[in-house]
Amino acid sequence: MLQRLMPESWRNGWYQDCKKYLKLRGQRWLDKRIPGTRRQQLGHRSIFILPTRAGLLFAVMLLIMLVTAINYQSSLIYGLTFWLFSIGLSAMYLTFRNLKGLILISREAPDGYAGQVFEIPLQLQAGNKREHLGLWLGYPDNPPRPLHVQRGQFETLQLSYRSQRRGKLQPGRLLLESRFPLGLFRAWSWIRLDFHTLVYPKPIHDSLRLAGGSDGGELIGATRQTSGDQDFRGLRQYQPGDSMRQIAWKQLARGKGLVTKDFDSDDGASCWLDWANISGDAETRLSILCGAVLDVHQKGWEYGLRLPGVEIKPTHSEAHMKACLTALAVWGEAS
Amino acid sequence: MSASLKQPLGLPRAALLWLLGSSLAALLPHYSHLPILVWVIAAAIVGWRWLMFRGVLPYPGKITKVLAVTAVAGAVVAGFSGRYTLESATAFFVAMSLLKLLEMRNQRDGFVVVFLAAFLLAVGFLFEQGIGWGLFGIVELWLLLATLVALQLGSSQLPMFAVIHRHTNRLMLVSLPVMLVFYLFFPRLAPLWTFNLQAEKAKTGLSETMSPGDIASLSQSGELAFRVTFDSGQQLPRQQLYWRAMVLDEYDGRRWSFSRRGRDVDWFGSGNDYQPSDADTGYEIIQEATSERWLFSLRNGAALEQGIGYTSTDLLVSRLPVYQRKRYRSVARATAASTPAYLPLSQRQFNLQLPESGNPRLRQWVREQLAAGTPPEQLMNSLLERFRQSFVYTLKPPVLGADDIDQFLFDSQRGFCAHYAGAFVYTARLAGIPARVVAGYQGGQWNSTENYLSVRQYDAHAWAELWRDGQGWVRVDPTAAVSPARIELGLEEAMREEGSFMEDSLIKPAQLRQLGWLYELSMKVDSINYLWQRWVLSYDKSRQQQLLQSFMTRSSFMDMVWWLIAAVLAAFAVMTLLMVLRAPSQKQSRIKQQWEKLLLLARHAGINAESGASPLSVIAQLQQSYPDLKTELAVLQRRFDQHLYAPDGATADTERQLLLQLKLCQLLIKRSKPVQFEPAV
Repeated sequence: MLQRLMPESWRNGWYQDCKKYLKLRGQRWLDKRIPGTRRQQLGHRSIFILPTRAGLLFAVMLLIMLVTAINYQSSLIYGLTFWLFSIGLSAMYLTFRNLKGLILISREAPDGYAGQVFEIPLQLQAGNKREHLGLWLGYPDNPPRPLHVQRGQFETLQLSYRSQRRGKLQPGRLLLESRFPLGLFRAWSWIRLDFHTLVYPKPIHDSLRLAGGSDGGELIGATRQTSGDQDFRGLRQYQPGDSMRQIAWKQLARGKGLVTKDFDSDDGASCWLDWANISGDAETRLSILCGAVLDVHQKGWEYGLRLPGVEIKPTHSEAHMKACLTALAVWGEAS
Repeated sequence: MSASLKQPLGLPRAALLWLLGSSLAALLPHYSHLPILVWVIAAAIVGWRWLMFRGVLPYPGKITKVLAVTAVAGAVVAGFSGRYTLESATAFFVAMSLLKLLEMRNQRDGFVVVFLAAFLLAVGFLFEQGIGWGLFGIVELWLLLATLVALQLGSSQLPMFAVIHRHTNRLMLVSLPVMLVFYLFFPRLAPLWTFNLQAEKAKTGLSETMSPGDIASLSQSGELAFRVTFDSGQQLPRQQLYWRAMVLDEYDGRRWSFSRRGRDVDWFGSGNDYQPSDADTGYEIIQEATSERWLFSLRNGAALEQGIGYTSTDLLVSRLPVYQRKRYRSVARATAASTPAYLPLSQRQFNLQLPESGNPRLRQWVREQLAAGTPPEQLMNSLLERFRQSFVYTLKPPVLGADDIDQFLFDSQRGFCAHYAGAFVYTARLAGIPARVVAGYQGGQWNSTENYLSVRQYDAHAWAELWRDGQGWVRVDPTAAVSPARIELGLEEAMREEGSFMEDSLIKPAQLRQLGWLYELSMKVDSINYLWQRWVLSYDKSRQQQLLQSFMTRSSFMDMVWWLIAAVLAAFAVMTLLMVLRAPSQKQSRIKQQWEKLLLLARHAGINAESGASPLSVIAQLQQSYPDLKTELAVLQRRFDQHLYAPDGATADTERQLLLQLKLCQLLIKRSKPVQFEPAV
């Protein structure tokens, strides 16, 4: 409303600045008051409460009822009015109490890539003496979820959050609110839960530049597209971490169990994924490297990763891939 | 900061039933005055809504809504032929609330419907105030709150009724103390503005005119007129219980009417106040609504309260019409305030006023008697003597034509109190004695358990007052001459032979009395109603002052306001205390202590375990670092599961087992070396 009335220049100028400043101050104040943790118990410091629109309507109705009682000198209407008033006060306390003592715990979500929707698992736990009903929670701009947590029990749910940033998953503050029991008051809390989940850079799969061999010689493009080019050494027992492409599917179909085709990949199939060999800004480089890690891993090559300040020696395993992706995700972030 | 979640706030299906139920229940106190039309509308709308609920009918469109509103509004206005009374306004309000019930579609509409129903309940208390309706109000309040709770719960898998029940009960009970404080101490103000909107329900009771037969029709009604408690707690002799309401001093040849002429009113507080005396009899009256200004009092009354006046005709009047039940105090003075030696000329003339002609036989008789030298006093005594000898007191007097007093005195000789009082005053005026009819009630029924007197409509009575120089107005009750039983024992006894007392009612009081226990019960019920009226319904400003004075030295409006503020502050303080004190206890449980100890040991061994992390993730971490202890740690994990998440809840047993395992693991961790776990980076 106010925004519409003011001239364009104001709206984009000082008004925007003020809003940003206030928002920042508000965020800081919240960070101080309700710091982020992996486990948050709601208490009187972290719960806010205000009347809802229905609560204001209720107040107006009480006023009309009081005037009726006075003008008709009716004791019964006085009684009803005062009881309702008193119930309104109690509802304020009970709405507050409905959130208090509730424990939120962050569970781990599987790692993912920037731009992807994360299903963040949360656990809400009630104390042994209290139930928490009519809860709504969600990240701002995401559809909220209704929830009831009964006495002494816990509920797990997954909240959707789309992360655009690589790094440690930081979904920001979660809004938890409740109007239970009467809807006359709304109690809410902004909760920041910390997660260990990592967000890898958004992979880019083109313009692959790889550094080949341990000597650092340059390889451009994928010279060997298939493992068929490599020397076939024999079959061995499947080990966790083996690439799907190496599994001998025919053997599996014949009922001989999970067997891996072993290739002699010592020479030529080893490469360095090097930051220095790619152009573009840092995020683009990281994205390209991420795509490269995925591609090369799928090909079954041994690969190493070089980032400014980070070097991971070439090898090939699921754990190795994870280490590379992690390095890409957290690169440049204050440790 | 106050951004709220965009909740889909539809109307939960489960809440719809609560909404329909509680809204309909709110109509019940209006049963006596709502026209049948409104009930038809209610049934139609609930049926419609039900079909919508079942999915048979669609939600009404815009045009349907406009048509429905116009039709219903038109029907209600036409039904009351455009009159603006409390009943018509209420019916209109009810009809509109019902339409809202049809139209509601989201949660906000649900709130509006509940608030409308709450207001309807309040308005219903203007029509029904019995203790039964008071209890009904509590039930209805419960229903309305339950509806709000159901709206909040939405459609969930919870055991709905149990949850609603628990929370509604808690809300109502927790709110009782603050409600009582407000009820007792909130200043009872005078009406903020005078309302013209009043109930038009025809009230049975005295009317301001009296023609023969009027009071006889009242005697068929057992409705309560007022209740009295005497300060002494003792019953006065029945012969003294003449409750004055009006002085009927104008006669038009057929009717006696209340002229209010030549009367001065001394309003309370105008400086001419009553001086208390021990010989006087104080009493308190709780009067039912009459929509009139006159009040009831014994002879030689006095105005003791604001808004009440005492007239020179020895009556109590109220400044405002008595639209609601009214409680007031008065006093019967042992001696009249002042006895004028003579009646002012204008009043004398007025109290002698009669039509020029009519009742020739009586005129003839009085003229003859006076000509024969009989003093007027003597003449009146001989009339009373005639009443005593040959007249009959009856509730079924014959219908009289023109010259009704002649017919009554010389032909039928049968009549009710109005006949006797009217004829007596007429004769006195013919004989030159200033006289007037007084209308009111006589007697009453004494309730000996709670010590109060109930005066009912059948106690209505009319008697005469004659002026005697030097004595003032003297009461003469001709009915007492005809039927002493009426005065000493009441109408029922007086009519015992005729059997005409309350003959139209289904259960006659006499029959009731024969069934002893039923009579006892009816007296008990009457006592309960009396207590309800005395302590709840007529709790008003002066009662409030009495209460405050009983535990405060000085009572004033401001004191009351302070009390209220203190009450609210106390309530808030209690709430804040509850909020702060009930914060999660700082004292850690034994399990938590042991767990922290374990974490500390792990941290010494170089394992990064946050104290906030869940046991599950920490134990997994520990299992990686201490492969040797894998089984023991798995047992620990299971113990945790059993203790925290077991379906049958934590018990002392699971706690003991968990503690044991925790201590065992601590010991093992202390003794063994962790495998260096290399993070991925």
